[in-house]
Amino acid sequence: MTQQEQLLIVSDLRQKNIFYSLDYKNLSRQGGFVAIFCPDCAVSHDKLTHLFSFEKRIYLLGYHGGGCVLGKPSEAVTIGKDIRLIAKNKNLKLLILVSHFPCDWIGRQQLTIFDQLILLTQAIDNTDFASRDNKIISLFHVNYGHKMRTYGVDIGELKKYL
Amino acid sequence: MSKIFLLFIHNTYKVLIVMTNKTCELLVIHCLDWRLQSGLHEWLREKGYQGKYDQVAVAGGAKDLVSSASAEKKYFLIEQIDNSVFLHNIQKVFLIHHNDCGAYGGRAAFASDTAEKIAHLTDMEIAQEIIETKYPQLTVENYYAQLNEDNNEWRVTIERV
Repeated sequence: MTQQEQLLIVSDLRQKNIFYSLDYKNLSRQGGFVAIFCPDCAVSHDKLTHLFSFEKRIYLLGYHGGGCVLGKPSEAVTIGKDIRLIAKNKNLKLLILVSHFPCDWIGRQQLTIFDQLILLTQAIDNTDFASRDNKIISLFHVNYGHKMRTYGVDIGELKKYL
Repeated sequence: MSKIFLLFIHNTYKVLIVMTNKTCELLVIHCLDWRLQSGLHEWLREKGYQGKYDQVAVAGGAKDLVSSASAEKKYFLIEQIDNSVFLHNIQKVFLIHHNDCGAYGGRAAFASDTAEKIAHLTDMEIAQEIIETKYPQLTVENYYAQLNEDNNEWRVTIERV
């Protein structure tokens, strides 16, 4: 599957509003959060500019694969413990999983955007963070070549789509 | 840079070329503490690295590489470095620790600021040796960030150690 073909899937997800436009102002009312992102140099600046524009108190966890890495059960155990500990100690109720396309970590494992999105849905289940008080939000950062955009992901609708 | 894989699928060989055009010279390993972030990224921008560095952020920075961490955590952090070496051909690693780090028990865990700094320096030196032994092509530099609160803003001063 070429990169252009994978971008067509992104377009389809946009049209179906599974990738939705973000309201950053809503996020800023949470009083801080834990964010998991990919360390990839291609997105670091853009991602930070976005995140820090609406919240200063961000505990950043940077792992290759970003939020998708939690889709792998063994990694979810190790990182999940850290997330719960940080959230408890710092009284944080929001976890943001940031993924991006094209992601070199995904490419290294010869996975497509479909596999990446499956990992993202599994990440929510594996993390064991969401509860009545705690929320998880998934963001998907897309580099179209001529522009970059970050979308919110409707995980429930994404599961049906996949 | 591109990587070429030979895959055996459905009884035929297929060549998969993964284009990884990106290279970035630097990997920064630092703590997840929110007070560090803005100052750190401003410092990297001033050094000319804006958009040109991979950043791995974990509690305590390079702490997981030294002996007190679990084997899984050590392996996981090594894997992060390995990904940056493989995917982006990094040449340099900055290890950045900071004062009052929660992963070390905060400032209160030490008898003095000097004792705290020495503990971080020792761990960074051990981590540096581990990285340079595994990846002799990499240059590792250690930095210590001082966080100071000033009028509800966190000032970050970073020095090479």
